[in-house]
Amino acid sequence: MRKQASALAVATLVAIGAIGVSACGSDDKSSSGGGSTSGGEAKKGGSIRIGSVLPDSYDPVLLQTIQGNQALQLVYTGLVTYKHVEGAAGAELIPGLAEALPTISADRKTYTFKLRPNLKYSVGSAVKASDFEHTIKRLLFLGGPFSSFSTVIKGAVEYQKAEKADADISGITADDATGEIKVELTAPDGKFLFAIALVSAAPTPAAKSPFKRSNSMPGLGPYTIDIKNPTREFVLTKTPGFDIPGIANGNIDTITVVKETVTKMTQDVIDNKLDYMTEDPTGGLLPEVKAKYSNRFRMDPNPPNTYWFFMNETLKPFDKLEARQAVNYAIDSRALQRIFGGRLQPSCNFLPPAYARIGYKKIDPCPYGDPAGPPNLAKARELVEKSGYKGMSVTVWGNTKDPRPAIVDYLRDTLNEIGFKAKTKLLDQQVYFGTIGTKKTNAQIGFTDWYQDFPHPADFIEPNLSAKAVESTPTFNFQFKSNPKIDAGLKKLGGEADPATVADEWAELDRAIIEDANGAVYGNELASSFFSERMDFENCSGVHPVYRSDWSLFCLK
Amino acid sequence: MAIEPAAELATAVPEAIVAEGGGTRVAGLAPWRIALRRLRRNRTALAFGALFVVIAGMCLAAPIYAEQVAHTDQFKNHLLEQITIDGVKRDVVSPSGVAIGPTYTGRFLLGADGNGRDIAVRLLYGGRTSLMIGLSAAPLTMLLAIVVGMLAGFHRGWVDAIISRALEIIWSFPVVLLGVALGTALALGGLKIGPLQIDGESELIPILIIAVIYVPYLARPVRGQVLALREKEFVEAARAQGAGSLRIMFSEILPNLSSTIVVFFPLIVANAILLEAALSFLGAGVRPPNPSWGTMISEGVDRIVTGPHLTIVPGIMLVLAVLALNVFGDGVRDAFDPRAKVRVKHR
Amino acid sequence: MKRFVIRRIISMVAVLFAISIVTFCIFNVIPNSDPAQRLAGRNPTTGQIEAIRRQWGFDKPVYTQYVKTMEKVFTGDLFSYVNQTDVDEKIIQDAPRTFSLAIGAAIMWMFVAISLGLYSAVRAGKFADRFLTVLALIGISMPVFWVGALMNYYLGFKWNIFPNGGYVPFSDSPLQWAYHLIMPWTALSLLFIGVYSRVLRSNVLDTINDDYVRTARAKGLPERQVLLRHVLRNSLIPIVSLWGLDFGAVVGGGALLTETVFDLQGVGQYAAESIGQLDVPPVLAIVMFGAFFVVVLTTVVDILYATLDPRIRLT
Repeated sequence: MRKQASALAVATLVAIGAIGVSACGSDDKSSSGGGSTSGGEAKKGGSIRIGSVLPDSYDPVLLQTIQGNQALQLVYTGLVTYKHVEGAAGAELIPGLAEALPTISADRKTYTFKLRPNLKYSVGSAVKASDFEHTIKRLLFLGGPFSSFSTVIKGAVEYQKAEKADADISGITADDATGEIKVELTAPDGKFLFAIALVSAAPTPAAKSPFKRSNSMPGLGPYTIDIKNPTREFVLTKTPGFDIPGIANGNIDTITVVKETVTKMTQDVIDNKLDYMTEDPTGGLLPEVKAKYSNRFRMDPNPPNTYWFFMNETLKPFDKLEARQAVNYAIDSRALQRIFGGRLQPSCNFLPPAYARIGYKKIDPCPYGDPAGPPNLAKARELVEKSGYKGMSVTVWGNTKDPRPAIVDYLRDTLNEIGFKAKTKLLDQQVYFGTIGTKKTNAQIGFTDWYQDFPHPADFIEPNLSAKAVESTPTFNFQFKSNPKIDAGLKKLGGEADPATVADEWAELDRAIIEDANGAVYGNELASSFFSERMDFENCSGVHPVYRSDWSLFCLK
Repeated sequence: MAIEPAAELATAVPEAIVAEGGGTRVAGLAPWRIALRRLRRNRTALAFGALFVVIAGMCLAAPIYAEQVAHTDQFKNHLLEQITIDGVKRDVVSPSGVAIGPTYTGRFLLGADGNGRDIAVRLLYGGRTSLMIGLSAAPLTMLLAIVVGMLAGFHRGWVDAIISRALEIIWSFPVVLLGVALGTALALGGLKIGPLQIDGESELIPILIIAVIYVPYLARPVRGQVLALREKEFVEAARAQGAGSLRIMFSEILPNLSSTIVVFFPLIVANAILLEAALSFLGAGVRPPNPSWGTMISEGVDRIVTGPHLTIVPGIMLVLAVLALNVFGDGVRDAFDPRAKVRVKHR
Repeated sequence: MKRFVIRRIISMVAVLFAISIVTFCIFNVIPNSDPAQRLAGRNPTTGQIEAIRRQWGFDKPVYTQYVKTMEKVFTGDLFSYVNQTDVDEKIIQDAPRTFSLAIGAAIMWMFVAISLGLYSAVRAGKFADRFLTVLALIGISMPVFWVGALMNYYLGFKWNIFPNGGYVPFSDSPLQWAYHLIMPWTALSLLFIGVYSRVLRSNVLDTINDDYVRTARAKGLPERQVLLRHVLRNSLIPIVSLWGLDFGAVVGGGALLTETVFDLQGVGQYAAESIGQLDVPPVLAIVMFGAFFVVVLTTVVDILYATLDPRIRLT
């Protein structure tokens, strides 16, 4: 998914070492992503203030952004969830409201869960098995952003077509007496369990969850939410008596989350008026923060992500392989690193290094030259000539969120260097992806990124590069075309629940993407964590591979 | 409006002009000469007028500076370059994204921005754009305002009613909001009116928007003047001679408006420049990568901690240019109306 | 008189109506991304988009949409395309911030402008007058967002003299409320002080030699009383009308630059954000809100003028 505009981070951070090694820019204070799992003696209690661009939705079913996920994952827990520890281990699936991870049938089409007994929501009502089915119905009926992951459930598509809220989904059977929930799929889907762990599938009491956007549904989690002002402030308070094994109770008593501009947030954390910010410090203040406040600042390649430039393969000039390869040869990740303020790790792969166990294999040698080294402008110019498109007008698209305008300007300048006539066009972030995802916009080339929804290579490849993706409008496949190797690969590997078993084949797909230049990858972004002096930075940094930061792990000094 | 209060423009026309405008058929000549003489004696106004010309000249010379002194243009990214100052090699943009500060040498005289672009070059080109937009929007405003004001004032009746209401609609929109709304919307799809097609990225869009926004400010006083003028004897005389409405408007009324027009012109240019800066600051004016003083201030504010000069310098240029116009405009107004000049009180 | 008032009110309503149409057209008629798609989120099925279209009425012709949207504006049922917050509710919540900024700035600029303008007129021709004129001219030449940004950085963040932006509600702490607003008030006022002080100065100079003033002096009134009671009062009349216009415009979102720079999160800032996101409902509502103020104040002022000066009723 996209960062912020549509990104829920649910990821497996696996090979920390690989990331640490590939980090360049030695004067950068980027830790190797590992995060201490010391646990240690986390001080309990206290209250903190967090600066955030607030959730796009307080209704978990309609949520899209990381900021929303960070807050709501503390309030709503799914049947399964992610381990609440820092570092790589945090990406493991553990039972949430269910007693144990589900039993999966031999044909991999039926998942059986059993609810823990005697669970009660924060308001005191009992958690029922049928609440889960109700939640999935809401998800499908309201057309929430992640509803497409649930359409693989038997009867889900028919339910959506029927457009009746209380119709039944044949694939889900829930027995309130025994607490058993059985979900049948139309086809094996390796990603399905991850989809259940998303906040959008977390059960809420059916009686209090109407079939329209609701901001105040009770949930069951370490914290409860009190929305003071939906666009300005909300407060999370520890749920008394919350006790589910595996899910941290939370150290801080009260978390107040307020909205501010990112610049002001940075200034406030520096001045200790805020204790944490969910965003990265803006370009201007980042060097200052790195230099003066390194004792409470760190960077991690987290959650796993990839940054690249899409190239529309149905339009000139990027319908020709030579033109696309030229762009790949011409891009200099070191220059882009500077634009990112050092927060970029150059890469030649489409999959992020964090996927080392499940499909990432560093493409070495990179067909376009060392990603951390100089570009090959001569070859790029040669290829542009060969493509016959020299001198062609190209519009580079980007959005206004910092530092994308600078990124896009760099690409414009580079394209001009190699023989095109480039100019830029910027849109507001809210409308950007929808606009370029519409075919008639005719966007030739531009900025894009992807933050994982869950730890699976298909999550990166399918929405961005498959034929299936092109069918939806708007689409995320800004190439508007798909590589047949990719489609074949997705078909073959998609059903496998554990991508680690077919990691090599995923790596092959990754390589095919790069060799066929279905995009111009330049690197992976490092996310920052910046704390006030009150926070215990050493023991409780809360860096989490899925939620980016798990606030229940925060603690004060 | 937070940009330029109604007060300033609305009271720019002193009554004396109307008084002087009437009376004789060739009323235009005498006041002009007198005004010019008075203006020549006003050293301050002339000095500031010259300042504006100097600034404009500097900006016009941008390509020369870019080529000869800085050896780059306003778009070129120098992210990975190093330059040698006093024998020391320095990054134009450091690996952690900090751009070099003012070097006071030919290249990167005022430093670089986050993309490694030469600030001094962009400042001059930005000035070109900002001044060009201001100087293009103002005549357009004048043209529209005169036409509209004359029609309304001369014909009165329902023509006046419709025009006045239309002006009131534009006037009632908070100026910056209207500008941002139009700027954003038009930037997306461009402007398509019949055969006329303007690309969303073109600078014509901010020019048109700014021009239209200021029409009511000028049209109202013009209308007021025309209302008064049409009662004068020479108009009656022309009518008696059989001249048609159009002819009267052109040959009798228009020349008498000329002093109003001249007085207003510098003020409108000044305000147009400020409005363009505001729109560009908010991202609804000049589109990147074209520089303007407004976009440079916006980019500078983002990096104000590491490089305050990125914000301060374009702002100062802007203030100087607008101040020059305002002082000169004051001088012009004083020249046309001696009563508005300072009166020394003896008690 | 009554006819005049009624005519003005009718024209006021007509203008507001026209403004709403213009705003609606600006965003809906110009090609941009389909709001139904944006509401649908990621990988939407065509069924989802159709459902949203029906819920919001995007499938109806433009004028029906317009009527529906205007209905929603007035019944408080308006929701943003972006995050479905209740627009009217948010405007009501944000309005105190904008009002705080506007009223505070208005008082500041009037007070300072009148003092400076009067002083300048009285010392006409002398150094003080010329100096103040120069200051006023500089004041009107400075872009408010530039001054604001520099103040915010230097006085706010770097030297910590004032808070670096943000807003504290009056009910929370009147002292903090004012403390946080001093810089925004000053930044916003600088421009207006420059203009109004000069207007007042010229008005004062115009009236200071009028007959009734000379009469008052002849009667033996002290100069100070002459100034305050006669000259100032008459010089203020044109100012008040202009003030009404400017205040209305500031409240209505015109101060959005100041709000954005200081992150006050008022109505103006909300408008600017919504415009960038092509979020039509808030923009429509805020424009109506702003225009309403401007138009009402203009009408009130016009009516006031008409009561004072019968000639005006005829135009």
